[in-house]
Amino acid sequence: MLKLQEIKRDFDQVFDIIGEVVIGQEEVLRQMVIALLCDANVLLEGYPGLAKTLSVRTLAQLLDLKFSRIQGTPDLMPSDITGTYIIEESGGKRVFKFQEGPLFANVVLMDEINRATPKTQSALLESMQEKQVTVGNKTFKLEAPFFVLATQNPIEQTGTFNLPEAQSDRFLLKVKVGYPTPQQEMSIINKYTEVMKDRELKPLLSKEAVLQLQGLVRKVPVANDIKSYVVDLITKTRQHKDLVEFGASPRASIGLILAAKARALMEGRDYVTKEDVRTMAYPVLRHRLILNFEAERNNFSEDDVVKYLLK
Amino acid sequence: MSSVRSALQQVKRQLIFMRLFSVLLVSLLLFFSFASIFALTNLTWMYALLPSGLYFSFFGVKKVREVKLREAEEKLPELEWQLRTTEDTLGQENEVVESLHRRVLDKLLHIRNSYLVDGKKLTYQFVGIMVFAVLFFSVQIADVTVLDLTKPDSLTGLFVQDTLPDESADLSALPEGDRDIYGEEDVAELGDEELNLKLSQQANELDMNNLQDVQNKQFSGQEGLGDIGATADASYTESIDEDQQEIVKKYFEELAKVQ
Repeated sequence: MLKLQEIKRDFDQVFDIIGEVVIGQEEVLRQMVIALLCDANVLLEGYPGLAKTLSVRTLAQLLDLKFSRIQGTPDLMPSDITGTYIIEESGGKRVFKFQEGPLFANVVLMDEINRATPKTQSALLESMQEKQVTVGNKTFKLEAPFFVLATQNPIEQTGTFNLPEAQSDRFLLKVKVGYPTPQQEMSIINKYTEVMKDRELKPLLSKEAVLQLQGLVRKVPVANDIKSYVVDLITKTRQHKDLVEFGASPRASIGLILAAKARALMEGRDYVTKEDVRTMAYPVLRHRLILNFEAERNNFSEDDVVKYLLK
Repeated sequence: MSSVRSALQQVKRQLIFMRLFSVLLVSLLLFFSFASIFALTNLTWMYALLPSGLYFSFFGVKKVREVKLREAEEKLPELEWQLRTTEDTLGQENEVVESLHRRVLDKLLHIRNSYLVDGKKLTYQFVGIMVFAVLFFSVQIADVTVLDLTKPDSLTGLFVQDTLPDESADLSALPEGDRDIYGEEDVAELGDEELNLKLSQQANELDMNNLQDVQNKQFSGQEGLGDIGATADASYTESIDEDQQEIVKKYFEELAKVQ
């Protein structure tokens, strides 16, 4: 028999420990775990110094997942992330050996994805979609779970290659990393100016458990009324031409239902509520809506439009 | 799974029963209110069966068709979204769905049907029925009639009465136009021309030598007395003092009331 309360307890434990390391980013961490449970990827947007890397690394440690980090730069080549063949001497002979790139991990953090060239971005997005990389004429499967978190800096847009809409649509969630409150910032100062060494973290969940949970998410049942609510919401994004130039795709409908399922499971429920959909609508839709001039003129953000559509 | 299905059907049956009961109460309320109105207007209370019967048959069918598990969830917040999800996933089989079904079944077994009853609404309906029932029976026993609709002029009488001036009213207060019993001068003008009436003598002369038997005559409606005419001769003039005209006018008005 499925023990939902145990699942909830495990997640609560994970968030408690991450909360001790990363202060003031509980919602960001929750949304990251939701994306991981959906076997999908996350676009993180936030200013530098908001513990994005620390959050991801801590999460990977607690879930016993292999972590790697790539820094996006204009001279980063696809082979730098996928891996390449190197010549190696073996028994007096020179042979080509495949050297795995940083994509061969469970959790990949691509810092400043918009600084990488479109060619490298495409290589990353292909691996996200296909869960495999092709080098030369050989294809290598990536180990499951494969979870990519790409960060974008909302400032310093000079010399960047913004992700095209078709490519940003492949990220399930766009999570906004905000500033901590003054009290939280005080705790951060106290914590990181007094201790030299990072805290040793023991894994709370195994890789197998994560995979099992990913399987369970898809099995969470959803009432037809909830499905209709999601379809209505996504349809509204296409109909409100007074605010939205281009609405969300059917991929957004799928993503919203999946994210709501994952949220329900994370909270120890075997059914989805409208509240799950409403909460997940913001990260699922904010990078999928292209606002028109009128909305921008009125200083409406994507979140304002989603809020308006949810009314 | 069949047990979950039957449990959900049981909940739906309970909702249908509750809805029908509610429609029945409203129909009774309508019956007693209409019956009271009919009794007060001296009409038979049996007419009240028509609106209440129509209400019951129309809304009874409508409300039964609209029964949704959402209604039960509103009354049982701890089962919010779960009953609907269970109903929509009755055909599915996986560990999460089965877990939901088991839990919902367990909760439904511990929930009494009385939880689905809206006590406040029922109380209001019962009180309404009681009030109108008491009113109806009181009217029947006391044989009170506010307006007798069985008499054809009962309604028109009411309106006519309103337009007649009060007996004690001061006639001098009437508008200037009403003070002349001959009417408005600019509307009717009394002439003084003579009326000359002539009867054709030919048509009245009798020839005793030319008598015949009576013949059947077919009247097509075209024949007329073309040669009979009238011309103005002299108008009837009456000289009544203006002071006396008021008395004459009042006399005719009183006469009209009696008729």
